[in-house]
Amino acid sequence: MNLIKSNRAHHLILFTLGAVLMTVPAIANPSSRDASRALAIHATVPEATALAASAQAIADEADKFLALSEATAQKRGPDGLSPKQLSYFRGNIPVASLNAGRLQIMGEPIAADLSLRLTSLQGRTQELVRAYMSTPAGSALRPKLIGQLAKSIKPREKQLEAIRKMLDGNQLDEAEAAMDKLRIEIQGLIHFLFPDEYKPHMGTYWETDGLVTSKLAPKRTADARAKIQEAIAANQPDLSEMKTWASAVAGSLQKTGTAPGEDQKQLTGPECITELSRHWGAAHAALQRVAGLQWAMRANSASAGSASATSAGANESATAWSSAALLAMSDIIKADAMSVSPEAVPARHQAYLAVIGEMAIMGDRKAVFEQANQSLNALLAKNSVYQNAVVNYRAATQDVLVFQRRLADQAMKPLMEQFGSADTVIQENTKSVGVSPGLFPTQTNQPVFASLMFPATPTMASITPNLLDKKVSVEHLVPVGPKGNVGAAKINGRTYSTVPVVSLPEQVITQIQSMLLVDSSHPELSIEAKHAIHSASVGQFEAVGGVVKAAQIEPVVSRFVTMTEATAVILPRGTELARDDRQSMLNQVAIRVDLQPLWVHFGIGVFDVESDRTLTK
Amino acid sequence: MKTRFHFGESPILNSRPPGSLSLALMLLLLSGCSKEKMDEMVNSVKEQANVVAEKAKASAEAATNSSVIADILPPSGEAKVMMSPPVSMSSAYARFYTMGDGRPEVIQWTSYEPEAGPNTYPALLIRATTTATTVSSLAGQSLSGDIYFQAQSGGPVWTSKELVNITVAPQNAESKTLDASIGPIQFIDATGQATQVNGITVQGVTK
Repeated sequence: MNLIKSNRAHHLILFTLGAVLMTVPAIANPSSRDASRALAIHATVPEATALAASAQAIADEADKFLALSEATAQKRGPDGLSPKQLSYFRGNIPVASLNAGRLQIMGEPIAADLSLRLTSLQGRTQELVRAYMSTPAGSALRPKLIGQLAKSIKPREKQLEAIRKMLDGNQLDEAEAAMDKLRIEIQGLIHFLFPDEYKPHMGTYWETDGLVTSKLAPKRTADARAKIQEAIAANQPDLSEMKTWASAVAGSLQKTGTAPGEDQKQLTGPECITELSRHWGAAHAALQRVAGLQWAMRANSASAGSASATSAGANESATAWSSAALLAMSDIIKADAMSVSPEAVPARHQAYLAVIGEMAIMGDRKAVFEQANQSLNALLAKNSVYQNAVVNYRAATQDVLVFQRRLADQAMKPLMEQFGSADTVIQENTKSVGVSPGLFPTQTNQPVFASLMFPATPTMASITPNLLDKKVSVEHLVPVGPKGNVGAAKINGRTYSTVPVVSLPEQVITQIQSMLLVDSSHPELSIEAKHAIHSASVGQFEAVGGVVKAAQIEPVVSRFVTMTEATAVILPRGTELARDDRQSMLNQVAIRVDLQPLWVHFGIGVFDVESDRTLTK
Repeated sequence: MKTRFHFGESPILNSRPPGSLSLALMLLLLSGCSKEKMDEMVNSVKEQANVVAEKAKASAEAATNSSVIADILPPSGEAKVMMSPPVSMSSAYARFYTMGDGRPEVIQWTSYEPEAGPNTYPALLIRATTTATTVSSLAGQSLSGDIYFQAQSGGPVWTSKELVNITVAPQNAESKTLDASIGPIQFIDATGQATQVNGITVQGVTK
């Protein structure tokens, strides 16, 4: 390939970043555009949706109220505050905190954010309550509140008794709802008073409160656990079923040359590989969901104080699927080879090269190539003339591919000095410094994953200016979405990204083809050549460097529990997310950055978007 | 063009062996060693020859007497890249790949074993497509092709911006190598760094 100066102005398909954002399901998460959006929930326990919405609403209202009230207090003094509103929030915030605890039991990461938020909101509210009560108006209110508390003890005791009866009758939900109502009322009163002022009027309140909690907690934990376990069971892909399928398919191919597919369609060997890749892809996404659910389960166990469920085994499953898929691919090809006629070998071989690429892009490329090449030998052995052409073709194209890859890697090295790995750049720029909240501690002796240490919204607002317009690089870009015009890059640490796919100029593709002796009537005869041309043509890139145009933080647990096949490309098949079990999963966030690409490494060359030319030969 | 595998210009051509080494080689041949054993010993002798490179110049004449060995030992080929400093490779191969399906054929010269790939260094690849159908018909032709050169593992891969002219030397009936040369060219690496090369020669052992 020679230095290229493309005249084509339209080769670069740059879609708006709006389109980029749409490719990932529109779940709410704090982003550089709107830091105030709530963290996504996964709702494995359906009640989580309502609980999160109600706690979130209180927190949002309190946020606004406190901002106004704090300004008022500063401007006009604390006697300008509204005791009624203060009471409303001082009562509701603790109950919202209880809801956050319930969300934690459900393994919902929003629980971590809510509890950080509500703790701060409660503190700020109490500050204003204290300030108000120190004013003459507050002093005047004090005896009134004590009187109100004393007067309400009789009807309240009746309510408390009713609640205890509900508990005895196992009407736990009802008891909890009634207790929450009382909690709002009582907490909205007592925090205006000194303990010796309210203690004489509490009756059996604290006792009943404790009773409700102790009866409800095990039930809530068990209910959530059951739902999460149910989801794990429903999502766990059945490896033995896949193995049985593959072995039946191989048997049929060997006997008849085809295998039964869906809708009574007879599938050829290559079509069976496509089917296998589909199974593997579905299983891969399911394994990520299972991993996410296991992390949710750990949060459930941790909140119940019981031994934590382990997510060990997830990696073994990913590896087992990977080896089984490769073995199935090999069995299918070898079985097919037995029934194929010598004259059908060239067409069949080329059909295999096309479908094996799919397996390679998503999985471990080297392992797939190696296994496929070995199995395809059985097919080639049926036609010695064609086999000879394939062997010679491979020998005549392999070394140039190796050198071109080395050239591309070397061309990328100086670029990497300007475009640091996205995860590293993010880590360096999102540390908590002074009053600016970040995702990483200011100083740490050991590697840690991005976590919420402060509420999500101020954290996102604080890190946004440090992220936008940063030059970063990401690895392993796979086109996703129905049009394939957006690429998703592999997650590294806790960072992944989306990038509009760069279409390489036709001249570049033509030169790769010519280097690999390919034209319209002479197809690629090796997997490696097929992969090189396909990758460059569709925008499946080894690495991309670009500028951060948007960023978003999202809870790792929600991202994984809701993983679809389309989004699961952020993890190559056969792998799982790196993690450290000493760090709470519920607080951990993934950072998604949307990049405007400036250069791409297409395996055997580097293309510079701005200068519109390849940087390599 | 250089004499093909004349010992004086052999893989140890940079270090013309002193007479004692040539003598040792001849003794080895006469003692009826197995091919493997002999190769091993020859290699060992070659190594020694490198060590005594400085002394070698003085014994240049003596070396010419060893031409008889060249006829017995299979040639290993050689390649030279005249950059600064010049790099010599003590083996080289020429392979002609024909697909037979109408696409261009490929001639490749490599400094490494073709089956092993460019994993021994210095690694040189000269590659051209051609419509010629046999190796012998390439002899004496001028081809246009690509060049890749990497002196050491992890070191810069040198290549040329444009296709280079490859002059294939004429062959005679006994030729066991296909020899080629490339005139002065400019090498460029992946970062755009350029270096002048005064020429490249390769004597590639054919199959």
